[in-house]
Amino acid sequence: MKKTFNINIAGTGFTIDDDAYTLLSDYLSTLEHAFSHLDDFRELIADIEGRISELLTEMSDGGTRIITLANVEAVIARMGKPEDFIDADVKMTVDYDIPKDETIIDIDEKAETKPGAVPPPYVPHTGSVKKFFRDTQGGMIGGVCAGISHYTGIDVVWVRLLTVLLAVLSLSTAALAYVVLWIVVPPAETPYEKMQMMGETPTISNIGRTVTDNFYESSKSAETPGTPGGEGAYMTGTRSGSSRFFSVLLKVLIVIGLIIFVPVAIALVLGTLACLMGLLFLSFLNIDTLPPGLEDVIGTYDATWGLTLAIASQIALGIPVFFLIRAMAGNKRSMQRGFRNTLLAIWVVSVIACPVLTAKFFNRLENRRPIDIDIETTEETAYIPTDSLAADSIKATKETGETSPDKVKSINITINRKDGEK
Amino acid sequence: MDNTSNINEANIKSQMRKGMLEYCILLILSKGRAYPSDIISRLKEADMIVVEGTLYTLLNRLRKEGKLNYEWEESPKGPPRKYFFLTDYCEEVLRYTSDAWNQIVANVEHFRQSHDNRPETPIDLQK
Repeated sequence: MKKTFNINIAGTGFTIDDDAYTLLSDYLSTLEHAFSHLDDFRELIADIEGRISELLTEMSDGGTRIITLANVEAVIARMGKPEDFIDADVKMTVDYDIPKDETIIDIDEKAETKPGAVPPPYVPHTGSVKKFFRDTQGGMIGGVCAGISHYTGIDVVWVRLLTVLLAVLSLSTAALAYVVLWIVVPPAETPYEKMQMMGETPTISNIGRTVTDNFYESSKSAETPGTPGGEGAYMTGTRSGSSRFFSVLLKVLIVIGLIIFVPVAIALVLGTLACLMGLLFLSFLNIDTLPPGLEDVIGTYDATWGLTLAIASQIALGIPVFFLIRAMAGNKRSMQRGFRNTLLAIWVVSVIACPVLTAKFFNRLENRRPIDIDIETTEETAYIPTDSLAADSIKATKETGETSPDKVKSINITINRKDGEK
Repeated sequence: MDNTSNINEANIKSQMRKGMLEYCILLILSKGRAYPSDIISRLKEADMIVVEGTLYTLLNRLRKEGKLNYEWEESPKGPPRKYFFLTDYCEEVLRYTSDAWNQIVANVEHFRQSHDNRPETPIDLQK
C-alpha cells in the first residue's frame, strides 16, 4: 500500500506514488539548483517539466494510471542526470566566481591524463560554506542534534549525550532551547540543502548523486518497514497536510513530555540519593553516643518518618517513570508477570502510603510547634489547666488590678517536651 | 604500451555528438519550425542524442545567442507547445557553419584516406 499525491506538471494532472513523488521533486529541485546560475533557469525548468509531463502522459497511455517509481526512474534515465545536461558552451559564456583559467586548465588536464574519462562537470561556484540545517532524516526527534553534528563535525552520539546532560543540568532550559532551534532552523529538504548541510560543495554531479542515493535509501527503508530508517522516512517523507500535522504534533508532545520529565527525573535521582544517605545516616547513628543536645537537633523520630515518606514518594513516582522509559526505549519484551505484579503492588502501597505518611509527618511537626498558653489571674497562685501540660510554654500573668501595663507581672514557665513524650 | 583497454567507445561517440548536436539542431530547424519533442524524436532516429535534457540547455543557449526564437502554439492534445524556428541571423550562421563543416569533413576525409592507405608494416628506416 502506498500513499499517492495529485500533482500538476506543466498543466497536466497526474496521480503519483509517494516515493515516486519524492524522487521526482528531488530531481527537479536538483535541476533548478544546477541551472540556477542562468538568469532564465525557470523557463528552462518549465520546458523540461513540459517534456517530463509529455513522457509521463505517454507512459500512462491516456488512462488514469498511477505514476510509479519505475516510471519516474525511466523519465530521469531519458532526460539525463544534471551532469549530462551541461552544455559545453554555457561554461564559457556564463560568468562564474571561480577564476576561469583555473577551471579550464583543470578540465584540460584531467581530459589529458585520463583518456576516455568524461571531463568533470563544471561547478558553478556557490561556495562550500557549511550551513546549519536540521537533519530530519538522520535525527531522532527534530534532527537538531544531527544538524549540529554535521555543522561542527562532532559525532552525533556526543552531541546527543551533551544535549541530554545539558537538559538535565539546566533543568530543561536546554530542552527549551532545543524546541526553539527546532522551530527556527530550517530542515534540509532539497538535495542542494543536504549538500550544504554536509559541507560538501554542491556540484552538479554530486547533487545528482544525492538524488539517486536518497532514492536508494528510501526504497530500502520502504522494503523493511519498522526499522528506524523506515520510520524516519515515514516521518519526513509524509507531505500530505494532515499526517504532517500529526507527526509534528506527536513530536511536540514528546518534547513537552521531556520538558516535564527532565525535572521529575532530576528530583527522582536527587531524592533517591537523599534517601540513601538518610538511610545510611540513620543506620549508623546511635543516639546514645551523640553529644547531649544534638539528638534534639537531629530529631531522629521525625527523620525516620520523613525518610519513609520520601522513599514512598520515590517509589510512587519512580515506578511509572520506569515503565515510561521502557516504553520510550521501545522495549516490547513483556516482563515477567510476577515481577510486574510485585512492582504494581509496591506502587499501590506507596501511593496509599504517601498521603498517610504526609499527614502523619506534618501532624507530628504541628505537634512539635511550641504551644503558648497565657493564663491571666489576679490571685497569687495561678492554676494551670492540666490539658495545657502538653504546651511547650506556659505564660502566667498576674494582674494587680491596675490597668497600667507596667504593673503586670509576668512569670514565664517554659516546659521543654522531650521527643516522643506525650 | 597497450591503450586499447582505455578506449571508451561510448565516450568517443558522445564527445563527437556534443560537437555536432548544435549543427544538427540548426539543420532540423532549417527545414521548418519544430517543438522540442519533435526535435528529440528526429535526433533519436539519427542516434544523435542520448539524454533529452541536453536539448533543453542547448535550445536555451541558442535562443540567448539570438540564433533561435520560439512561438507558443496550441497543440491538438495537451498543453500548448513551444515551436522553435531559426532567426534570420541564424540562417546566415548556418550557411557559414555548413561551409566550415564541408571543409572539416573534406580535411578529415583526407586524413582518413592517408590513414587507411598507410603501409601495413612500419617502414624500416635502417634499410
